[in-house]
Amino acid sequence: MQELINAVSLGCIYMLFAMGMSLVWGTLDVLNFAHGSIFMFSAFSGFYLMQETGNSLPLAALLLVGVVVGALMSVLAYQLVLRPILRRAKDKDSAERQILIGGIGLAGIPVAIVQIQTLSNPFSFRAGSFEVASYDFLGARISNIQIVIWVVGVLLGTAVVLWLRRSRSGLALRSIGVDSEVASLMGIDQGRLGVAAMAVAGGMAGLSGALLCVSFGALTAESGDVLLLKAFAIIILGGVGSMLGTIIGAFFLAGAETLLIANTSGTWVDAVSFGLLFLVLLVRPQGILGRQEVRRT
Amino acid sequence: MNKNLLRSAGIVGATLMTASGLASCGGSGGGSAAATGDCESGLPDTIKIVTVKDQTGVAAYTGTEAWRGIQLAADEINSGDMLDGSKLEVEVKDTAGDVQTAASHVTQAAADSSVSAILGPVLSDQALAVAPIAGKSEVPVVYTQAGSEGIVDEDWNFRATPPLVTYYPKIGQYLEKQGATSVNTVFAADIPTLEQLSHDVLPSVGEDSGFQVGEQVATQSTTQDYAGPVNKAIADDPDALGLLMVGAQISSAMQAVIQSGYQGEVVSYPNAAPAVAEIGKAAAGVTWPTNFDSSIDTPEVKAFDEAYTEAYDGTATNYAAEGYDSLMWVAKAIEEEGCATRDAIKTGLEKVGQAGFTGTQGELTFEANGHDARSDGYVVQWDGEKIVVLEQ
Repeated sequence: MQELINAVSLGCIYMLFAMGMSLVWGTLDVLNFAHGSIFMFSAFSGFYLMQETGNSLPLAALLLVGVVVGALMSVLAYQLVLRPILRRAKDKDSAERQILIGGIGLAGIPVAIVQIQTLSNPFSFRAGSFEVASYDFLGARISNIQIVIWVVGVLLGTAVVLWLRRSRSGLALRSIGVDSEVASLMGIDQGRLGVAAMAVAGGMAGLSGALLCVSFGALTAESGDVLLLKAFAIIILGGVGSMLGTIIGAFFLAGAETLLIANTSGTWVDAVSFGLLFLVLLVRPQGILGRQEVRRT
Repeated sequence: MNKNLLRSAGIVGATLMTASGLASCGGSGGGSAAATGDCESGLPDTIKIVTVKDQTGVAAYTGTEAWRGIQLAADEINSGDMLDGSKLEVEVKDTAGDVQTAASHVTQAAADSSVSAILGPVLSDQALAVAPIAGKSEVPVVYTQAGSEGIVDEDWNFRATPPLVTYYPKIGQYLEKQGATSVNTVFAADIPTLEQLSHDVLPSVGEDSGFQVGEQVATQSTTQDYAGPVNKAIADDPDALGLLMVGAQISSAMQAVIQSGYQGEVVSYPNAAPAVAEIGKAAAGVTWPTNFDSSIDTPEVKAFDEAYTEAYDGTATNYAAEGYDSLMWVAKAIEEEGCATRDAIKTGLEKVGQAGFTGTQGELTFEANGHDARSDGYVVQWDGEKIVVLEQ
């Protein structure tokens, strides 16, 4: 039971982080390598505000700060760097390459700022108005922050899937992912939807940053890098562009890691996680729920 | 090829060669004597010491704290006229967490004949790269931290921080007093020192202190969620749990312990200090052996902590204390020999090391012919608000 609780909590964390990345990769063709540093910097902003306000911010305010900072950073990155790259690139391949390099370059800036500010020390939301407590639950232990992560994960995961599947703007966004030229001809405002998608992705990164900073106790300037690699594996596992696939991938990876830790040496975790990635790439390159890409010549 | 381009390249090349030639001559102006000269004229007006430590990058905190301690020691030595009118001139070079940069700075400092000694990097990988350069260039290098084996094997290398594994056994006395008979650990398997603590040191201490080390859960530097590893380690309800990892991981592991409801003893190592301070009351009871803490009641620690607080507005850290002791060791070596040449400093460091001295880290003795510091260490505990000394 304890393993199940741990796996679900870890899965929610992975899901919250990876969904935003998957959203913009699957629709705007933006593989945003700055997603991890947006996640980290949003949490750092909460930490900074906590210090300035004498550790008096409640959890809800910290989460809000994370969402706002994450959304702002993501939109700024899109408008100032990623979108101009997409516009100027000669073709899709060179756009993807340049977006990748641009994202890596962007990611370095917040990391460097936080490294300088903290001297590479961990930062955390010191005990503010939210105390982490744990309770007995069906013979296992569950903490209040784990419950918050579960609730936020379920609500946000459902909301994003429903938005993309049921709403007009969600369908329009997905159509950009299928064929951006046809979407334009159909009158879809790619600029506005692109900004909206980046804001949602950044907001989710910021939210997960704030939640993890409370749940893990502390983050460092480099914390986003580790999650970025895991998110990459999750998206490939689930299928690029499939939100449901990303959710399945997140829980699959979390379950595999939890089982590995419970039954073997923890040093196998990364090897097996990324071994799974290779396996999927070999056996089903489009991922669990991804669609086969058809290129017409 | 374009002739202008060739001419420009020639000018740039000549300029660089001149500049490097001037640099290697080592400007010894301002009364600074060549560190490679003789001792007949006594101590020079200024003695140049170069510090090569991380000021940015992943180990910035450790390096900047050590540099703070070094500056405090230099101020004390110069203002107290410890070297008969001769002044220590200390400067810092940032390795930025990079082995090549560390090696480059040490090579440059070694090539500068006005540099008498080097205070070496804090990270073991950098120190291992620098150690052969020190031996080849015959310049004394004194490290802080850098606990890996092999660093002080080269003749010109010295270490002012007692390796963690040498004073960690002190935790055995504490666990014995608490009546612990079973200890499990969660440790970072890719950090050799911590792997050694879990696999070798703790089981060996347990033989003398009446406990057995059972489950040892290995994690990686990439592990962020410690709920799984901690739950595995406490599954058989051990009397004590050892948390041996670095940086934010200690905070995460402690958070996981708190959330798990575990009620036994939690032991860690000096890196736990900032983590427990961040967590606060919920981390009360976490205990670890250390080579320094500002709450230790000795005249040396009190004086150092007061100077640190006045200069930097905070409490002194073990990294700062180690930096302070490292420069004090060099100053004592110069005082011992009455000379600031590299040869004399090396001989002086060995003599002072063999005799031992009292520093901010307590009574320091030295092994490896006076090259490698040792101390008995202390056992400290976080009481929820501050660190208190249990075993002094």
